Amino acid sequence: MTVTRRQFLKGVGAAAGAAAVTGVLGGAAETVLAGRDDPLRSLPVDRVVRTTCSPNCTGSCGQLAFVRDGNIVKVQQAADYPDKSYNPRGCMKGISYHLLVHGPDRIKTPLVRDGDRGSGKFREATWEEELDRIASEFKRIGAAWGWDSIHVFGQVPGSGYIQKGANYRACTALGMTHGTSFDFNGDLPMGMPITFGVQNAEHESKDWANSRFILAVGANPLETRIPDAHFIEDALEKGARLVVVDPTFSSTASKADAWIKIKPGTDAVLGLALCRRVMEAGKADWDFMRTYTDAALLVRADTHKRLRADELAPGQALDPGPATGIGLGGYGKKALPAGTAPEVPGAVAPAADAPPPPRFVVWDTASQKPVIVGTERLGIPAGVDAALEGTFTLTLADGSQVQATPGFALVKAEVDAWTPEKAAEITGIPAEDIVRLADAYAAERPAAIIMGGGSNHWYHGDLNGRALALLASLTGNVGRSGGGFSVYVGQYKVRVDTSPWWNIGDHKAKVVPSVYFVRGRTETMNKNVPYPKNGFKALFCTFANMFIQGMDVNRLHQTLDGCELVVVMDHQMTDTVGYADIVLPATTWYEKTDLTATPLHPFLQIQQPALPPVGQARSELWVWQEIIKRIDPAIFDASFDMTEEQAIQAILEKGGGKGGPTEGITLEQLKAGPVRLKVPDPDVAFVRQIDELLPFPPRSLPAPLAATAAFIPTRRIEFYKEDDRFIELGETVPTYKPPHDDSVHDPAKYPIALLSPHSKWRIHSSYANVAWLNEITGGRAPVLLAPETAAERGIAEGDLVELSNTRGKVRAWAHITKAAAPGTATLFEGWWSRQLGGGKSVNELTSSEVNPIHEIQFVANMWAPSTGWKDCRCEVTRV
Amino acid sequence: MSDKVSPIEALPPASRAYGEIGAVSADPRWVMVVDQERCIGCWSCCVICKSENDVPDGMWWNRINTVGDGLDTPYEEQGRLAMHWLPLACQHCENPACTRVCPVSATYSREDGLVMQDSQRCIGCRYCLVACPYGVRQFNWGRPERPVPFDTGMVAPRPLGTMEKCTMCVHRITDGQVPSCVWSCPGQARIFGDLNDPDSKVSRLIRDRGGYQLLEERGTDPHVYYLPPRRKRGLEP
Ligand code: SF4
Ligand code: SF4
Repeated sequence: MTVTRRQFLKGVGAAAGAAAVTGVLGGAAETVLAGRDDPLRSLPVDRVVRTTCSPNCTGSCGQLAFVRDGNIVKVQQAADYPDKSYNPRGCMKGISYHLLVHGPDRIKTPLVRDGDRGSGKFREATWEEELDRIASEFKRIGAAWGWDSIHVFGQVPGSGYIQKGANYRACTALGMTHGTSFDFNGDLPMGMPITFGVQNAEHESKDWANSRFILAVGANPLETRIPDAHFIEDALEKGARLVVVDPTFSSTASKADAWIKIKPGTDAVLGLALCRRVMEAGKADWDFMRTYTDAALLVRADTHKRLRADELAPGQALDPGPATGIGLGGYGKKALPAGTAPEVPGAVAPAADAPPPPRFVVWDTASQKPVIVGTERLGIPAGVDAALEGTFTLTLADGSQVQATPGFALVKAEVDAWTPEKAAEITGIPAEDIVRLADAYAAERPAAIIMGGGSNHWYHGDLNGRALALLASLTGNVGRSGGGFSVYVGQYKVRVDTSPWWNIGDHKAKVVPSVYFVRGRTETMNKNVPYPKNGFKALFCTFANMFIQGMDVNRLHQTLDGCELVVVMDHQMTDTVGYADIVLPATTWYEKTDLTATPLHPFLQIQQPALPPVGQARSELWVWQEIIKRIDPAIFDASFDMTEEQAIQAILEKGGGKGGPTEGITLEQLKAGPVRLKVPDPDVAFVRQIDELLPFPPRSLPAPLAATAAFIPTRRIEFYKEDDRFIELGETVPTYKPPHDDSVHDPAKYPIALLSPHSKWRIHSSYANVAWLNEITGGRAPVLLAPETAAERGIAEGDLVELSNTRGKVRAWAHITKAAAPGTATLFEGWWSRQLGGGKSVNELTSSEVNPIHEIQFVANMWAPSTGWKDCRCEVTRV
Repeated sequence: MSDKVSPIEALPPASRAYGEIGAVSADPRWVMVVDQERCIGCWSCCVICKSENDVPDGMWWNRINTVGDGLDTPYEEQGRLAMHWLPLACQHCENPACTRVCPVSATYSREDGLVMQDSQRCIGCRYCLVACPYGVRQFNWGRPERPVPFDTGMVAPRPLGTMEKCTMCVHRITDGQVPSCVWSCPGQARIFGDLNDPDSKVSRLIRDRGGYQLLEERGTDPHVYYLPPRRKRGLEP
């Protein structure tokens, strides 16, 4: 016992003012400062280390590790955000992490398969043996099949820019392909790149507190965004209203002013019907639509493409000159004077021989003439009354005539078809509730839409997003604090320019959407996808329970069977580890250095080791350094002979220039605690576009601006899409299509919609093995069934039931509750196979079908196939 | 063994400031306010309690009751589904039922109103367990076990055959820090403070938000107050 009474007294003095000391200790002080077992004193520790929890949950919560005798004996939120509204930030999972660091499933030594693949039989090995084997096998496979046949998969780079970045850097150096997570996880909200030209963009969670109305669609932040959920309560305390749209009565629904029970997969219908009502009630913000969206731009009736100014006969259209757009109705209040093109952050001067950017055409009802609109800035030239409806005849350069109509007229024609009655039929929501919801939403500004995985995880999730984006735009809520349309799924966000670490000079890793690893190439695959010529021959899987957590997992196992080498790096003995040939013991984030940030709060944070690696665990960077040394020492010398801190420094420097996200941020500051990035406060998506008339999109790091700007050639919010495939598939405007799996699994035979939402008890499959949490939940998987659904099948509470479709089957235990909608089964994803009654996971049933719309363009994780986990039918039977 | 430090003293300054109880009256009356509107049923308070106090497997000093049909499952009320949560730990009663029945004074009230449990004195008769109307007392029926092979937490474990329960983290209060559940509540639903100060946040909340005590009619007069969930507005204008 080395803690002295003086030390404690000193501690108390520093902790509280003199009044508190007297008050707290009172006369008891003399008697309580005794020995180790003094019940009135905390037991001493060796040290307290500030680090960051960052599984794939978007939390990135600051945590303190309390270390005693080489063990973490407590993890508790650091609660040190300078913006105090964020404190304490952290959930019951994060604060039980030491049970994983030191728990029974921890992998402490290298392991080599000692039986058939998947038998789970291993023998202990040495690092030397494993690294030599990986290096020589990679060389053999690289020579035989091409280095791109070696695939690296890791979840998710946003959760650790340095260690997960090391995977990218290794791919860059060796020519291996890297997989994806944001699109693979179905989290990429494809409505965002399609409509706004960004990977995604959202409001920091603090901004929820500024809302007057929060519409949560397929989102359950009370369970899946635990550190942020209180901001919703803050809004409610200030009088805001919360409406939750969800087939299932969730925890978030329990807090809502109204729970709108919707049939799964029909959110787009609700969105469109709400838009219709907003317009009908005279609540649409046409100034917003004209200033910022493509509403007024003319579309040719013959080709369904947007009319380009250079297609018109010369002199026909008025040309007000470049950058003459102004904000209507008071919008664009911080814009430079008309005629000045704003400087676009991240824009690179085009090559001298590049074609000039396209210019578009609106119809001025005042002069009855076409007017040219460029892309240098948003807005409409002063005095122009841009038509949003009507059909106009124009003369083309070749003298022929063409009919054209404002894009919005086409959007409106579709929206108008969605009467409350028709929407009620499809969504199951009473028509009068749809009208009341629209009126209540439109009555309040700012009003926020929060879209979650329940809405996004569909084959046609992009259509859900496009309809809701239209609703937010029609009501002028985009770019406004407290408003917006935000999709919070996935720890995708790379908030700083990581290129100095992920790339080597100008070389970047070849990234292949991982859904193609599951199902091979599709006929419609974008030609820019660097799909390996000989397919996948080796897999290096890190920090991912891919073999049960990937979708359509039985199909995935076929690819796996074709792999000549499967390496898995993890710190827990997951199901996936059981299929490895070689198992590498990984450090947890309590044992290594990394850099992270998240979409939900704009703080940059580091992870720093609280402990030396447990057992023989090692970091990703160390592993790649060792592999590369063995493959080619020259590559090591040139590109891998650096520490984590040097990598962090390089990233800080890259973004540290004037106006850069890391301007003024130093490693020393990060070691002491979280540092807010140089972003607006509150961080509101698109605020500069709205205030300064900056063309869309803002840059999506780490991609160059040009890559995502190509998604929206008008450089406006696009509700009309002109690419051939949108035209072919009838998706030029926001619309509705029934769930895709209805066409794969006949609903007559597979009458149950299988929902597999995120659980509050796990982050995907992480934390499934935390003993304390399993004491609470019972540690085995329930399937939520409505009383009717259960009764029709003779299922009683607690019965073992089987869920099956043509892709696979899984067993779990019935939990009968009215929270579940009739005709649905809810099996929260992420249980390990040992917690199920049979089968690998719910993902034996989920689908890997690829929507060809998602293949029109290709920027990995930005416009790429986003998968539909909830788009899945099955039958449920009692076992 | 290296030099050890108080875990409070070792806190980084910003974290330490976050946990400070702050100024209180000369004669503080500690109360905990639990806001059921803000509570999201996440159990973080229970988990950190288990961690802070080295509460063994199978035992919880603090737990979350779902006001519903089972864990996170709603009940039906007039054709509508509803659910909220009731966090439950020792209520630190002004008139405790437990202290009255303890034959050896192992459980007793402090001057400031906290109800303490002395495991050195406890003889394991479990009278208090029966007497407590809130069912929050936990007994060490076996040798305490935990998921990791070492003692966790910030206090010493209690021996087999003794009673244990929430201490309001008195070992932290001594150092001017709020109880761990208050620190760790992501809902910001737990507020700790001094009822003797009429301007304290707890006093104000209890007054303004209709703070109530559990089983008020029993006359136990708990030092834990609850703020009821708000009324829902529906879709009406
Ligand atoms: S698991 Fe996620 S939400 Fe929980 S503490 Fe860790 S980062 Fe935060
Ligand atoms: S930590 Fe807070 S929000 Fe979570 S269950 Fe406890 S009281 Fe409720």
